[in-house]
Amino acid sequence: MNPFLSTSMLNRPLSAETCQTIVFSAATTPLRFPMRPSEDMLGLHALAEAYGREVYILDRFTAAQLFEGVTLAVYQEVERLFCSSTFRSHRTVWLLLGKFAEEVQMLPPSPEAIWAICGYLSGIRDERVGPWVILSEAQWYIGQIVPDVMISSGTIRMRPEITWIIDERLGRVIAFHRHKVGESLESAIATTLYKALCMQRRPASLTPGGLTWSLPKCLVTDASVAQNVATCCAELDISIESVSMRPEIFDDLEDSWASTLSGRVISAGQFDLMLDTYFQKRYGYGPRTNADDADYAFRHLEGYNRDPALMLPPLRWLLPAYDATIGEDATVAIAGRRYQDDLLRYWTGSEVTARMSRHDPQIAYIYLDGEILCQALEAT
Amino acid sequence: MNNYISTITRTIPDWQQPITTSRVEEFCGFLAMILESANVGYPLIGIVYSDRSGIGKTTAILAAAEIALPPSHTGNPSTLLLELEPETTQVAFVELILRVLGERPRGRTKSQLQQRAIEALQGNDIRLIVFDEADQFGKKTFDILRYICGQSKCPALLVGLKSIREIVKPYEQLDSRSFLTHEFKPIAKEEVLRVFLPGLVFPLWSFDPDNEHHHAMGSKIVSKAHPSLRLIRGVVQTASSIAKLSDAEQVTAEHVDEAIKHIRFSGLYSEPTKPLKADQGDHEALSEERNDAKQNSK
Repeated sequence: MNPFLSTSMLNRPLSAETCQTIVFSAATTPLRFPMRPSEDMLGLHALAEAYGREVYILDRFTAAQLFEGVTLAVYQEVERLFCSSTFRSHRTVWLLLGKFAEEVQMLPPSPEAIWAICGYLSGIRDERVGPWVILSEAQWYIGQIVPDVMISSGTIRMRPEITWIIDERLGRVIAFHRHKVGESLESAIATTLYKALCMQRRPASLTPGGLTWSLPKCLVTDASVAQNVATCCAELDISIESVSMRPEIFDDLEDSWASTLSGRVISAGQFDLMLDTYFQKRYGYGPRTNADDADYAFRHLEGYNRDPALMLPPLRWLLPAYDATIGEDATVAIAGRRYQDDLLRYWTGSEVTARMSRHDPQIAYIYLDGEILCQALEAT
Repeated sequence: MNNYISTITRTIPDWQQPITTSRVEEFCGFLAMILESANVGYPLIGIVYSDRSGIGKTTAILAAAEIALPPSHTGNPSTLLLELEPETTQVAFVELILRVLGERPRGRTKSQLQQRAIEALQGNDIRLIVFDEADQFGKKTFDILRYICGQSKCPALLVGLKSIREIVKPYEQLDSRSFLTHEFKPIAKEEVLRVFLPGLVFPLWSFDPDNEHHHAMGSKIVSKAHPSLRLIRGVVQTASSIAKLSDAEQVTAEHVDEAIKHIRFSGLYSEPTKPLKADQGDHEALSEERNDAKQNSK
């Protein structure tokens, strides 16, 4: 419901003291998405650098002026939009409130007020839906291999191209992906990294979302990394390094395993199973087998069975992206499917980027100007 | 490392090389046809049957396993040799496949186990499954066998007594796919003397078919025990034990005569008057003896 249409008697402007508390709390709390200089209308940050944190304690008049139009309903709507697992930025929340206000021909709240409220709520958001990430000492190697084996996919016969990720500390393959016909290397790396990161989630009863994520400290690769992968790693505090040496496991696969399959043509599906079984028998860890085992073992746990990209927002950068336009019916059409959400009606005709969920293709994440707008569901 | 995984209870001892008789060669050729069917994309279910037990089907399976199976990749076995329990259930059948492949079952429903077994067969690159004592199968086991082999594109070979054809026939779907059959016949007496007896390895046992005394000894064994190779082996094994206990230097005709006295031949090598369900061993022998005694008393 549009917060600017609330007729409740309790829906009054926030008190000046509350506004002062909100600004001071937001200004002195590190935010994942800091305010852009263009949004700092009062120049508070520049003043703070000169005169200290006390400048964030606004006088009552300035606070009231800054929070003009921010009622209890608006504050609650900001909380609803910001503290959700969609993980919107404070800027997107401000844009949404602007659309709500425009709908009823009212002035929107100031961007600084929304920034302050979001900053004030950031701790609450982390407590409710923030992913519980544990950075380990692991180092992952991303590489490609084209074993000398012939596989058939439909009527096409070819040598499979495989991208895989090796945990160098444990000496085993933790994810692999056989390239689809015509798939780019960047897409394959994103898919493989997505699989590897998804395998790092484990149920934890006392954490938000019921999961912990054990992530590596470093990714090592001898290939160039696409921007979306770099962004994902940056948001997860995973560094990316270049290396020119290949782990020994590469030679094992090329020399030992592939040579025993020479002269045979294997179906693509069976090839994946055979490769996974080989890893399982030789190194004690088959990525696909272990993923299926975990999915089965944890099938009754709500957090584990939700879309991993919903639970760990940086994963969304690794989803396949499609450029689309919001239609007049407030839906987005991509890859033969139509997705809808209530918020899309405010941006009909706008260009967006849709990232289709790998977990459930009926879900797509809609990005407006590079930031998450909503999670859309397939229209029935 | 073996190229196969076997749950067959009867095994060839390590010190006994497989004896390649003409029937074993025929069996290997038939097995090669079954294997080739997978290479051309239409995996078959083949049937090898005989009208009596003890003539060497299981041993032929084990011998073929040593010489005729496709090589595996990565050293993992490429063939399963399975012997099912009588009246085994569908779930037990699928669990057996998972167990011998060292795979963890995932799920408790038949459908989940089936799917897991199909993935396990494909993932382990199993090129052939041989089922011994296949005449023990029930209808439901045949159905699930057909489904799993069809989905995994893995050919299968059913080995058993002649009654297996009667069991398979009513299930038209399976029968229409099992259009490769092979009757496993006993080897000729001359081949027993020329190939089988010389190939047996037992303490103090030595057999030269061109030696007159050996030939006479062998002919006596053959006359009593043929066509059952199991019985022939049993006579030689018993004679070897007797010779060893007598501190003899080698097995002689006297030892063979003594061994023959201790082995029950009655009813075990006569022409069967009805299809046999399975080789019941001593129980069948006792049953046949009782039947013979009743008939003789009448």
